[in-house]
Amino acid sequence: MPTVSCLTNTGYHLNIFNIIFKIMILHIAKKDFLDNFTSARFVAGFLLCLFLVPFTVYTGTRLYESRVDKYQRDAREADEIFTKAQVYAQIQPVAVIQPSPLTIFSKGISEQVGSKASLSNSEIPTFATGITTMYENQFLNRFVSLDFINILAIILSLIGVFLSYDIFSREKEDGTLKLLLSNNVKRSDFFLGKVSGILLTFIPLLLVCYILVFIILWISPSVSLSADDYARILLLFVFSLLYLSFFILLGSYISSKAGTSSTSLIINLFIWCFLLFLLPNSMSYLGKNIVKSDNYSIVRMNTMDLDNEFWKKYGELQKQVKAETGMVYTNWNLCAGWNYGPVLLCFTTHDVMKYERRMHELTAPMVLDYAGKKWHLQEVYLNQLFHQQKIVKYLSCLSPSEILKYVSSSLCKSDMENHVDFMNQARNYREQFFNYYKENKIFSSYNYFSPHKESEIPKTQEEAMKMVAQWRSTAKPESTFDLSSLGFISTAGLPRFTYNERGIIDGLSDQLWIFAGLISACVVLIWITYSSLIKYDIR
Amino acid sequence: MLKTIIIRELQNHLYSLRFIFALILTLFLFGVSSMSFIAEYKEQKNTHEQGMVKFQEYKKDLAKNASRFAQNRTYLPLAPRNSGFIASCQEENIPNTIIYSAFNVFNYDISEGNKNPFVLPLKSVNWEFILVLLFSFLAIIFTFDAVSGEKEMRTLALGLSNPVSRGILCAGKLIGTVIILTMFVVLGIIVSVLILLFSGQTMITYTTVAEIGGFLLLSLLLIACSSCVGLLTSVLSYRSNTSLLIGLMVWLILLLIIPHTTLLLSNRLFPVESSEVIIQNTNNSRKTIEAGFPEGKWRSESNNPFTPDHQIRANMQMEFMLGEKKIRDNWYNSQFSQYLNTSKMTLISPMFIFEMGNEHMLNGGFQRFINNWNDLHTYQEQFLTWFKAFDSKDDKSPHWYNPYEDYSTSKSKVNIDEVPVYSERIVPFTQRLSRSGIYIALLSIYTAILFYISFVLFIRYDVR
Repeated sequence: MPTVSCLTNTGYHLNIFNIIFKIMILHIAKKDFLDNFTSARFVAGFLLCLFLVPFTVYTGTRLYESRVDKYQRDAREADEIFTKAQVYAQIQPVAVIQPSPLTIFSKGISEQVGSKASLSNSEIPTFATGITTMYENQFLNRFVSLDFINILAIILSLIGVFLSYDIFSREKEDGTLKLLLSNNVKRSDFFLGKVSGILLTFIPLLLVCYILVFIILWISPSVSLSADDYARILLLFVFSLLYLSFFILLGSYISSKAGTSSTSLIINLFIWCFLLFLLPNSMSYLGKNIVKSDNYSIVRMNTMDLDNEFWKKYGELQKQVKAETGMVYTNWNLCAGWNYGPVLLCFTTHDVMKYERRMHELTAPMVLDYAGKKWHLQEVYLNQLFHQQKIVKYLSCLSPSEILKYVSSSLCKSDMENHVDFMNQARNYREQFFNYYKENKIFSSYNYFSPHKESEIPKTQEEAMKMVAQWRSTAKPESTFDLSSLGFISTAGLPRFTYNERGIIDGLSDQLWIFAGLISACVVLIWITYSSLIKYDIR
Repeated sequence: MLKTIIIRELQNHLYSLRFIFALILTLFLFGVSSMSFIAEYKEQKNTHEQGMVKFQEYKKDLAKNASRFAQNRTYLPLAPRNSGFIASCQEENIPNTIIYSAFNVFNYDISEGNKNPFVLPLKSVNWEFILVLLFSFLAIIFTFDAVSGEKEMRTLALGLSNPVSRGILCAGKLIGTVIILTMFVVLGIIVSVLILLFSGQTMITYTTVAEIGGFLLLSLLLIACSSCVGLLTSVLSYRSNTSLLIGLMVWLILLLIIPHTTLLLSNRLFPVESSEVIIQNTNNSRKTIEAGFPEGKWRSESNNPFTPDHQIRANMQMEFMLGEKKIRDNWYNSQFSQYLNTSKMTLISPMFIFEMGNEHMLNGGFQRFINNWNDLHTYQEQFLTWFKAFDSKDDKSPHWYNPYEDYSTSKSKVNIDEVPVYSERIVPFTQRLSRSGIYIALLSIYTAILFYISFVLFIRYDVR
């Protein structure tokens, strides 16, 4: 019985102590929070954030607005391809992607890649077109361009280092460490209390930064955030805290190892500068030069060789069809566009139209076939780029600031995976679109290249000229090439492009490895700091 | 006395932890920079040569028809620069290809080349990058505690109790840091040059040696200037950690925030028309020109070059081109001046002055582009004169110059060797150095002012 009582007694004491310790962690955290909050280092960083964040976000918003304007124009033009088509050949669809307001937070690669894909019959697009630089003036690329996440990455980590470099050494130098640990305070609780105190200090700073961003976004009329966007921003907030924890833990570890605060600060700052600026650039530069990709100009030249081959075959086909239809000289009375592209031919005699119809019937599959052949070369090149990107990504992710950039660009839909997904959907749509043409025999119909029905086509040149004169006098076209009065075809049944956005989970699963890497680094840092603290000479 | 202080400073640095860190980082970065440059330069050179071979084949094919040869829009990519290991001058990010024909210099563009658009934008590592990032940082790390650190250790009052003036003490500390960091740079350069020499990819000529000398001069000034920033922060506070905090904030402001801010302000302060407006204006100009020409302007007869409609269209097309050229040239000039004005604003940062000094000294980046742009305009006139002379000898040609069609000018075969060739002008080193003189002077003035302020503040500094 006494044994049981003793056990109970110990258990009772343990519970009390646990509570006291927990309160102790809170006490330490609270004390540190208050100390840090009023320190010069925190205030300096806070002021820098207060100046930079609104300024950057405001400009980012203006740039986003101009992108939205361009998107609306592009989307309208892409729609007009269908609504203002007079023949089927004119429909060479364009897939357009709407810019995400989240790019204001992290622009990722959104400024380097375009936002629309031209899906012509003769080419499967390698890259998107459209705006590929932040500013119209390409010379301005010379200057440093930061976004919200870049600023957080630099300033947060610097304040993190400044708040944590003396986490143990200062207490030791002030003589308060042994005083504190002579009480009933575990070293682990002391460590946790300290780290929580610093993290707590950052919460108001981060909150103020994010609130400032929200205020700017709310007053901007063109920005509207969806529930999904808010969820992504929340994750961004959490991830910023995780990134910050890395630097705090790193600072704590070095503090536990270094003899004095000043040594700890110097080591910390060297590591900070190395991780933030030197490592990502050197690794990326090295990675890009180790993993080679072909030169795009050379790829283009090789595809031009295929184009030349195509033209030869096209010439042979012309001869063949001329022999087949007995055609000698093709007299086009009124036309727009070119050969196998978005061509329109009208008021032209029946024999020429017959010849053209047969040409389109034979060349259209060949055009699609050559687009496929060129795509093989382009695909090899694209795969090289993807491989290179992957190597550069993993090498530069040795730096936590790069991990933050990659994860946030994924959350903000401005990473490579999102762009590749858009391009793949666009390419699939292209295939679906031209398959529809094939299945419905559109390539071999007169409506593919002419607005006239077969019965309306003039038999002789005189009749054709008469029709042109009559049309000119009644329709009164504005210019030589104004054919709008000839009417538009119905495109209701044609497949249209719709972009299905990737979900948060898909996006994050791409970044799983680097995300896990950062968490593991934090866990390792906690463990080694704790081990080091156990052996720490507190005198 | 100054000598004693300098020697003491050097000894202090030599035994410090930061010395070891700085040495490791210097060797690492200079090594990475040369190894990456070798791989990059080899690749770029191969691609450029390959491209040129293909281009010559294409030109030979075009030469079958003189008009097509003259009208062809030729892409002129700037060849990779062998001094790229010193500074890339951001050539990979700014326009590096110019598009021209015998009739016009049309446009400029950034060639996709070896760029990977899917990689997040990062700077290439070269000597300039190392100086701008690492050495400006090291200069602050080496000087932040020059005064406040000594005060904390209570050695400052002791030191000044000797017959030594505050000015000499201040100068001694500065010179000591500059010497040690310049030694690092020299060491790094030696390592880098050795790697380059062993690789056999780059030729180290007398000009390269002169360029390295120029770079060293600019580096010395940048280190001196950044050290003065560190010194100034050191006399601003009585605690070395506060000095370091201020120093790093200033470093961040000078390195990142000033270029970032001027970029954001540039569109506000020096607005440039958008490309949509330019396209719209060009279309309007075309419409107006087209309306002024009689019916038949679009009619053509491929078998009869002397069809009168060809002359009408040649005149109209020429006016189209000239109209567009006027609009575009104004737009390009406004873009150039926007860039130059933004650059001038950014000169507040000594790091940017250093970069501009290098750009002028190496004739790289924007300087190289604009030289080529201007020279190509002169060449285009020569090309056109040649074409007109060639065309005048052809009786089958009506000599109606149309920049886009070959109906009304000579279709004879061209002997490609007779055509004037464009080659990039080599700017002599002395001329380049004199152009970068303004930036050398600016950095010196910057350093002198910072040192003077530090000195004045140090005179009033409470050393007890």
